[in-house]
This record gives sequence, structure tokens and C-alpha cells, in this order.
Amino acid sequence: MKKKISSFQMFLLMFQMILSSSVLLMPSITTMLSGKDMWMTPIFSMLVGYLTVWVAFKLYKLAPHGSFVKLLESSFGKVIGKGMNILFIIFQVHIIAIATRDYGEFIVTNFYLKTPVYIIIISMLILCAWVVSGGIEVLARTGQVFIPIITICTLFIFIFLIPELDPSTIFPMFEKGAAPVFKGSVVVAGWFCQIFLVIYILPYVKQENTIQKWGYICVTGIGLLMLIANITVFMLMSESASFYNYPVFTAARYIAYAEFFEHVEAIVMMVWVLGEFFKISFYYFTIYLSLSETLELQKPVVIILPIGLLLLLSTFWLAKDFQMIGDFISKSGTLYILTGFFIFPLVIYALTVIKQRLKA
Amino acid sequence: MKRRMIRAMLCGLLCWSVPLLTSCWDRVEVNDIAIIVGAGIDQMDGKQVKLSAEIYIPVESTGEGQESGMKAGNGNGKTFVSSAAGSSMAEAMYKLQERLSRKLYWGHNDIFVIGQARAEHGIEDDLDFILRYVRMRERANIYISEGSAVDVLGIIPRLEPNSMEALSELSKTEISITVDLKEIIERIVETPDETYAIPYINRGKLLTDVSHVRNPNVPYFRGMSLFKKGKMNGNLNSDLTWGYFWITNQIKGNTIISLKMPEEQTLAVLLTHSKTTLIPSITPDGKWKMKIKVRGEGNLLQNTSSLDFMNPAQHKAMIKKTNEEVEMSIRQALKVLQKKYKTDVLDFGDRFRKLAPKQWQKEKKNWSTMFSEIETELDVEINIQRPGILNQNIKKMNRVNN
Repeated sequence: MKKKISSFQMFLLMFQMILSSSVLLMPSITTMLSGKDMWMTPIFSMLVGYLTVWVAFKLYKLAPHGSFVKLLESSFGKVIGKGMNILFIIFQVHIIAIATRDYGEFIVTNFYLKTPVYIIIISMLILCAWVVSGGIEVLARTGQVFIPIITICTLFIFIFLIPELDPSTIFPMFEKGAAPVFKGSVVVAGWFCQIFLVIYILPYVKQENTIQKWGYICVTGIGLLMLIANITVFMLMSESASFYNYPVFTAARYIAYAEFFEHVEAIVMMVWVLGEFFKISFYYFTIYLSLSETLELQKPVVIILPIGLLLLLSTFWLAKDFQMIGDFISKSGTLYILTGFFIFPLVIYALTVIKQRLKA
Repeated sequence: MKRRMIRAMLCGLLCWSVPLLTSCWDRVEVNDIAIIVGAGIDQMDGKQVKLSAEIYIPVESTGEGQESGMKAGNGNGKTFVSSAAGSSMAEAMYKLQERLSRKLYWGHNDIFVIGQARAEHGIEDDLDFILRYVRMRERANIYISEGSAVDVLGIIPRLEPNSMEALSELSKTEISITVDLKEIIERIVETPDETYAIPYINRGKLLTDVSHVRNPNVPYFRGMSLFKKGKMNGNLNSDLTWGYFWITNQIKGNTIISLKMPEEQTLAVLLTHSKTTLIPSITPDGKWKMKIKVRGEGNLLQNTSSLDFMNPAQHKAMIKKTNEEVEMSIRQALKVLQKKYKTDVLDFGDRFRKLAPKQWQKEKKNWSTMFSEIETELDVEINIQRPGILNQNIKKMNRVNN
């Protein structure tokens, strides 16, 4: 396997992969769960992020040739290992199908009212399929070009809102004790744990010794941006934030300077489309990679388009309407995703270590 | 061979992207839309609601005949008003669309005017539609009008191109404020009884005799209308609105305080800067108290009173009189808000929530009664710093020389 990307590129990809959907959706859900203390939820969830990066790196070191797929097969036997791999792939398909559908719903709700949602999803998936067929290097370089632009645009939205903010809204702190903050943090942790997918691209990273460092920087960076987003949204619209489906979008619509610098919400759309492009491409890539390794394909490129078709169909199988997506993301989805991306790796790690101890 | 295949594929992809990039379904041409610059909502007989839209006319109309068939405003304005009624806002909008050849476009709408009858009936239905419909903007300002809203929209003012401009410019002056949709939804969520205040306006014609006023066709600011549980329950007139502004720290610079003086004396102060702080406290025996602390600075604008600015003792008396005047207007506003309407538009609830979160959770259920019983304490200090150009008052100059 060739070493192709730098650890900085890895950092950028993971950074955007997690932020893309979270910034837009998270403030609403956390306000609903944590009330006035919603802004501090990312701080606690970052711990889950750090732990996930650590586990991912440890598993990578244990794995033969650094492949997570091979690790499962070698630790649990071929049949069980392959079964677990297939299950994990289906899990990823499920998660990304929800994210893709949510992307489509956002665009249709706010911008393309009359365009059918499948057109938006199909065009995105075709683009992603193209990138995935180009390989991880293409994806990483695309990220190097676009991710800084996305981040700067996002920050600009928050900077423009500064004059409208009222810092006193965040008081009183811990109004209903610490329990609501914990509830909100669990939901945010559901985003952080997705960083586990980094394990699939670790074999491609050139400088192995800096992986952990950049991994932790990545979690910190994500946490900071989430914190900025949360604080800005809450100081702008306080508890009413939970009643908007996309509070950051509403906040961007609120920007107005000198009666002509208005209507900048198109920036949010650009950020969202580009961000989701990286998220979907990344998942697409990991699904493609793990599936081709599990099935031990000679010519893996042939499965790219079938995977795309599977993703497309899953987006419509999984949810009938916005109600189902919203309910899944804010309720059952959190525990589901934490089980897959946080508890599952921890268990695998524990079992592998115990098995090695017993052998020795 | 392979390279050729890829090239062919790329070419195909390029061609295929052409129909996709036009975004055919949502294509909107500028000459297909009717840009709404202001909207009015009125109560009709029997649960019907009337939606009026002030629509921008893209080409300057040459004759008034072009507007026949519409409920037109003044022909020389660049906007016209069209309206339709329905059982809900959504239905009214649909009916309004039927009457127009172009598609209604809400993206530039900055003003909602709600007629008093509608406001008293309840505006929650309308707010739900306005906030839910994706083309609306949270920054749009809301006004309540005396009489019907469609009359205010129909105004073609002299100084501004249309009534929407007139209203938004009016709100920037020191006698008025703006309240936008975002603030209203915030207050609905945060206050226990959904209490908020919205600027109250009327059109000049109702205010004065047309023959005496040069410019009757402008909206006038008349105070604030108070809302509780989605319904308008009262009004603050201009004088009481001063008190409301003082308490909520919304007094702007350039405000003039004109003192009530005995006989024919006058004394007026031009405020340059002011700040109001609300300090809540709960006494040991469980009484809720609010201290209203006002600090300000101003310059003398007019003085024909017996008080001399340059005399230290009289300067103090002058300041005392100013403070009393401000205290008076605050007291009056407090009395009306606390005792008559029992409507907390002053943010007192939020202050107590920050002071004592636990007690607030218990008391917020019957906040209206609690609010009416809060003891208030005033602490006003407005300093008069400069006398202006003259240092003596006109009536006294003569005596000084002799």
C-alpha cells in the first residue's frame, strides 16, 4: 500500500468530515436538550473525541499492515471477522445515508423549493463517486484547496454577527443542574466519535509519528469551532434557537450591514454543499475500501458505482420525510452512532489486547 | 484506447452538466417576480384575515390608468398595494397570488404592519406563518397600526420613496425603536406570559386636521402596544413610552427632556448619553425588589427659568428638577405596566431569573401577579454639563447690564 497523504491533509479531511453537518444542525438540538448551557456541550464531548483518536491509533498499530479489516479477521477468525466487517460497512452506509438525505432536505427546504430531492442527491453522489475513483490522494488535495475556504467563510458569518450578540443571555449557568449539559454533550459526542473512521486512511499517511498529534489538534479544532458556533447562535437568538431547524442558516440570514450588505445566506449554502461533499466522499471512500478488502477483490474500481446506487437507495429507504430524519438525529441516532464508532472500537481493542496477553 | 474512453466520458459528463447547472425547477427571472417591500395584516369580518402587500413597480409608470383593477395607492409612487382575504395567512397569500401576473417574492420584505383589530384578536397564527415560510426574513420589523394596516401601506410619503422606507427611517429616529421578528420569537420563548411590546403607529391623516398639516401622508409613531399571550392588551401613549424607554435602556442620544415648569418658564435639556441598569434583589423576608439606576449626561437646550446655570446652587436645583422629571415618567410607566396591564415588557423576569434561578422556576407560573407586586426603587442622576452658547438666560441679560 502506498503512502500518499500527509498528516496535515488527514487533519483537514477529518476536521471537515465532522464539522460539515454538525455546525448547521447541532445548535438546535443542543439548545433543546441543554437550554442555556448548550454552549459548553462541545467541551465535554471533546473528551470522547480524544479517546476515539487514541483508540483508532492503537488499533492501527495492532493491525496487520495497518488494515482494520484484516485486524478483525485475524483476531476473530475469518468468518466472524468478515461478518463483523460487513456489519460495520452496513452501519456506515446507514449513517452516511442519513447525512446525505439531510443534506438534500436542507437544500430543498431553503433554496431549491421545486427541485426534486433525488436530483440534488444524485448529482452529489456522482461527484463523490468520481472523487473516490480518483483515490484518497485526490480527495486529500481537493480538501487542501477547499477546506480552508469553507472554514474562513464559516468564521466570517460568526464575525459579522458579533454586533448583534448579547453576552448576558448565557446566564444563569447550570440553571437546572449539570444533567441537561450531559444530555447535550452525549449528542455532540455522536459527532465526535465519527472521527474513528480515520483508521481507514491511516495506512496512507506518510509521517506516522505525527498522526496522533494532528489527531488531537483536529479534535481541539472541531471543538473550538463548535463552541464558536454554539455561543454565537445562542447569544443571537437565546432559547428560541431550538425552534429553528437550521439556526446557523437563520443567523446568517440575520446579517445586515448599512442596508446593503445583506442576504449572505448563500455563503451557508456553499459551506454546506462543500462540507457535505467531503463528508459523503470520505464515507464513500471508507465503505469502498473496507468492502473491497473484505471481499478481497482483484479490481475494486468496479464496485464504486454499485456502492453509489446503494447509498442513493438507502437515503430513501431510511427516512420517508423530515420528521423521521430529525427524530433519528436528535434521539435514537445518538446512542446508535456512539455504539458503532465509540463502544465497538473500544471493545475490539480490549478483546485484541486480552487475546494477545493470553497468547504471550 | 483507454485514454480515448476516458476523454469521451469526460465530454459526455461535461455535456450532461449543462442541463443540470441551469437548475431548471427553481429558475426565477427578475421580470417574473413581484417584489414585496411591505406587508399588512388586517382582521376581517368573521375570522377572515386580509393580507395586503406593497409591491414594487419595476418600471416607472407613465399613467395611472395602468394600475386600474388594483387597489392602487397614489399614482406617482413607485409601489402599489394589492390585498386579498382568506381564512388564514397562507390562504390569503394564495388568493393574493391569483390576482397578480407575477410571482410574489418575499425576500425583500422588511416591514409587517398589523392592524389593531387583528392584534387584539391575536397574532400567533400570523407569526407562525411568517416564521415558517422560508422566504421570509427574521430581520423584518413589525408595527401595529391604529386603524387598518392597509391604510398605512397605502401612504405615499413626501420625503421617502414609499411607506416601507418611511417606516424604517422613522424607526431610526430617537422617538421610536424597531422590533423585529427574531426579538419577538425570543420573547415568546423566554417570558412566562409571552409578553412583548411592538411600536404603535398611525397615519398622519387620523392625527390632525388635514388642512393645517402640510404633510399628513406619513406614518407617525404613537407609542408602544403591549402583547400578552399573543394578544394585544393595551397601549402606552407617547408619554408613557418615554418611561418605558428609560427603564429598558432604549433612550437614544439627542433626546430632549422638556421640563414642566411653573408659569411661563421653560427649561429643556438635550440628552447626549444615558444608561439604565436594572438591579434586582430579594429581601430576606421574601420581597422582590427592583432598583432602576439611570445615569446620563445632557446639555442645556433652552432656559428661561429663574434658575441660573452658572450659579452652583441653582445648577444643582436644575439637575434635581431634571431628575424628578425623568423619575416621574418612569413612575407613570411602571404604574401602568404593573397595575393596569400586569404585563412585563421590561425584562424584569429575566433579571430575577439570573439572580435567583431556583426561586424563578417556582414563581414564573404566576409571574403576572408577582410582577405587579414588585417594589421599585429609582436612582436617577442626569448631569447637565454645558450651557450651550449663551451663559445667561435672555430675560435676565438686561438686568445684568444695568
